[in-house]
Amino acid sequence: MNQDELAAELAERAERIRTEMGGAQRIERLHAAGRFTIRERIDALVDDGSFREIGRFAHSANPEDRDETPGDGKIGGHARIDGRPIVVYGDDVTVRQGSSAIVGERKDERLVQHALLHGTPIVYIGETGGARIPDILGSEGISSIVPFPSVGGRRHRVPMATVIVGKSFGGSSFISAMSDLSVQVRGSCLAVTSPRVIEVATKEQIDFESLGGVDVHARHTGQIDLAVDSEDEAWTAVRRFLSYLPPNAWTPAPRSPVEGCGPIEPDPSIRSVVPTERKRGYDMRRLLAKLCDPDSFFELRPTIGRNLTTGFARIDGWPIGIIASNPMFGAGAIDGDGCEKATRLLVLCDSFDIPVLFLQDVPGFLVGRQVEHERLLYKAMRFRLALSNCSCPTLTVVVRKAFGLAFKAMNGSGVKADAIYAWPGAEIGFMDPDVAVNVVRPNATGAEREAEHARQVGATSPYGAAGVMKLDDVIDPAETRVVLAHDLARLAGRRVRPPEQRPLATWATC
Amino acid sequence: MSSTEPSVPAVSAVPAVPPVPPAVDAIAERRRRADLIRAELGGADAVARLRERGERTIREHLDGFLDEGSFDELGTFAHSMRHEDRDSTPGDGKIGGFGRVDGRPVAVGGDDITVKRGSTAVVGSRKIDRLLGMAIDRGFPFVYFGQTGGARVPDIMSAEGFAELSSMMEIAQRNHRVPVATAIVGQSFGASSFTAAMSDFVVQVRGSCLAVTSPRVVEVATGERITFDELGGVDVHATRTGMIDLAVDSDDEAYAAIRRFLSYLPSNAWSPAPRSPAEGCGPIEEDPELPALVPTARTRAYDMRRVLARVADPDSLFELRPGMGRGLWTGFARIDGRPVALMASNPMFNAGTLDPAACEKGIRLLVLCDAFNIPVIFLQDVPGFLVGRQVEHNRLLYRAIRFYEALLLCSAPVISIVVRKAFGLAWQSLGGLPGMVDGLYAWPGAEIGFMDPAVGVNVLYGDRLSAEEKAARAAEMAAVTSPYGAAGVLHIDEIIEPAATRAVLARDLERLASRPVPPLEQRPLRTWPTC
Repeated sequence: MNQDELAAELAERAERIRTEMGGAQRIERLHAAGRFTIRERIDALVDDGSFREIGRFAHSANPEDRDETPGDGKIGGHARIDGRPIVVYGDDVTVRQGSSAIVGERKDERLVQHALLHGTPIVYIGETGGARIPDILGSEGISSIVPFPSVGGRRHRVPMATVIVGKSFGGSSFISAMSDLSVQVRGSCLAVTSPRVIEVATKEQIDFESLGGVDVHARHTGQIDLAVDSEDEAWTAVRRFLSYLPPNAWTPAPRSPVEGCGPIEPDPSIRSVVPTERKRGYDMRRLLAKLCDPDSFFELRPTIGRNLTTGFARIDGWPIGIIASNPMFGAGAIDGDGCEKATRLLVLCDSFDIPVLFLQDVPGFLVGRQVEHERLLYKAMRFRLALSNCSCPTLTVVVRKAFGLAFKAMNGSGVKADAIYAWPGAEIGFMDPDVAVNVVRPNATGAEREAEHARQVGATSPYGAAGVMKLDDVIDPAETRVVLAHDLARLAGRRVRPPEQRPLATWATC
Repeated sequence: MSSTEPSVPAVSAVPAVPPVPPAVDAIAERRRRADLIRAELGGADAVARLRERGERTIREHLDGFLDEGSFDELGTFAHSMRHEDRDSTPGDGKIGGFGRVDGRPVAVGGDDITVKRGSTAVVGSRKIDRLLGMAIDRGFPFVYFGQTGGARVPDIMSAEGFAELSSMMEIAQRNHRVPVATAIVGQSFGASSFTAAMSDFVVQVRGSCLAVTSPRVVEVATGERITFDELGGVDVHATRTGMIDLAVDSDDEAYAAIRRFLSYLPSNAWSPAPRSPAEGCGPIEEDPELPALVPTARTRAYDMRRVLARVADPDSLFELRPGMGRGLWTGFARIDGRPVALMASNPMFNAGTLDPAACEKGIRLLVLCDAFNIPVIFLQDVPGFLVGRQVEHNRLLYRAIRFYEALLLCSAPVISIVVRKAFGLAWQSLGGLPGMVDGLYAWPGAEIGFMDPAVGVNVLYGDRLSAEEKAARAAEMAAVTSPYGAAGVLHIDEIIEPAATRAVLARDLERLASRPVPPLEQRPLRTWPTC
């Protein structure tokens, strides 16, 4: 054959593999069930026409399976999102249920190595049934695979997002746990072990949804960041997530163009968002909407640990992480799930050098037997260790109350903040004055009690801390967005530590 | 939050020290002051009440723990910042200084409950930060005896006072440069509990309580009534929360446990761990009795501790968190005098499966070993991770993967030996990483594969095959799990004689002694949380 003929044969082979995958009938069955192939998913995620596959001609290492395993259960390559290069790969359920075998794993590892070398984000689309039998059943087979060494040793050098689109056990679940963002599509199942294996091993019967459906994880285990109802929402979420992050740890996070940022000017309407009465509830997200650029707040883990609202946003185009009390839920008292959310965000922000904004309106940590036995001490101290060690800039605004350890936990005085402010109505102290009066003067009544209460209220005024330079300033709520925008502009020239000197970069993702 | 009880005012304040008359010898006066403070602490009455309850003062704890007569105090003359409390707060609720353990220098500190319930205020916390800072700078361990009632009221009630209080940045930014151990010897809320959570080793004495918030504050805030023991007693933590490493019945046992813990570790992350003298190590030779301890039938239980006792030097095993995740034994030991961490499946409990608590034990030990560059030895006899709704909902996925990430990152040497079975991700999680670990061995009867063949045939064939056919298929599967398959393609370094296990490890450790050790800042787990 001459080169033209060889090229034609190549095209013919590639086209057959691309269109038939593990078999035309299997694709039809997927489509009939309203589902998509991995190639269709990749096309839906990435910029139009930007997918460049590698390993198109890979197949099983088993000689007898060569012809039936195009791609060997994993499809992937290079592409773009919003014009920026990424690596993308995923499980192909038309080939042996997307099971993990030697060559497919080799392809995945190769792509992750590319991403780490080139500094491009990784997106993984997961629904593997687990490791392939019989390929890795025995000692030679299983010892031929080291699970995801480069993903596990990623050290946050590049961002990684996973979307769970189907039934995921074993490998794809592990990769999800190793990711910075995990999005799960309703109807899928995320677990270590499948209901079938559970039943064989223990006789316990459980359905997919109860074992590892979106509601289990979004509300109970906290092992995903977002639950979505459709794959399209998942692609949008991944694209949005990546928009706040740099492509790698050695590049600054991208500032968005000025036009969409909204004005940087005093906004008196901010004053009315937070009631002055300390026990009145309100939704902190309303304040975030006013402080951040229009429509720029992207909440993570919105249905767990809701006493803290966390996510990414922009102010004057600068990407920032947000950790904010939310008095709408449990009065904003911090619980273990809240601590874990905050820790996870700090790990990301330290790794990619993104400033973090803390907004405090916090009565303290949740108390009682249940939270103590659920290891609040450990979770609170893990949050504390993360904050004490993170090398990214942090800014703190006390918008109303800040009592006890929670004041320090949320980056209060003496911890870390590059700037720390309070609104004039803030109350800062070891405990709520209503409680303090009972503790300090338990037997006082009438006027005596009122006098003590007034004294306690006076002592928590922010001017006390500002008077000894433990706050940088007391600011008008209306000025908050302006103050933060100016701080972020000043921080733009900061000296940034190299990625390997960022203390949280090696922390586990889970 | 209010993580404290109001401090009980000292009933008997220390008598005010009179001003120094001009003619008095300043040296004698210093001695008089120091003797008074050291003898009476927060007041002779308060000390007497402690004694009546059978409790020890913090000075007695420190003396009991340290090598005899080795305590050098720092901050003897410290007192409260509040003018009105100066004379009644000798030491300001925290006592500390330096001393020796087995001849090696350490820094020590603790809560003095004779002074305002050991509550935490500005000067006392400054003393602890100072000691920690010096320990970290000079490279020796820090040991804390904790029983604070929390932050001091009213000192820290106001915005100004509260903002002045230490933020515990010294310990939070330690990054495992030196070991830190905590003994919880009384009712601990607030700072001493936080110190425990940030320590490498925590021992809790029966009768004490470890919690964030005291029962009294819990009741004031929520109306919930709970006893100290129910809230944070040793049994709660040793068998349920896993927030302590060891529960002991007496103060003396706590001292002994910390001294023992420190004996396996270097004084700091830039020094090698101390090898013990050759005389106590026991012989390095074939052990013909070892093989029979492990039954060949994969479902027969046995106690792995009997194997460990023969592989390690005599009496050198020191188990950590014995009441949690018991399918995996974790702790320190010595082989030929060299300190090692051991992680061994124990088929005696849950058939040796890995559950979330076992993963957390493993993570904690890997962090310590990476930070202080101590070799890790795995002994595998593991059917897999525990399966089912409960463990899945208890975040098995996250914990298993955190354990695996810790192992992939660990810069300390890792050796793994499969003594019997090793299936699935558990095999890899316990060091089955060909070419990536420092030694990978199997006993000849080992079975290595994706899953137990008996489970595998049922997953694959269900009811589609008869019992005989399934048995035949299971036998086929079992055949390929032989270690010779992996050894044949050099994924296992060697199949070893069980009797030679101790000798193989001793020789590997000897060869590892000249290894290049990564500098601290290149040990990936050194910044990982201890909690």
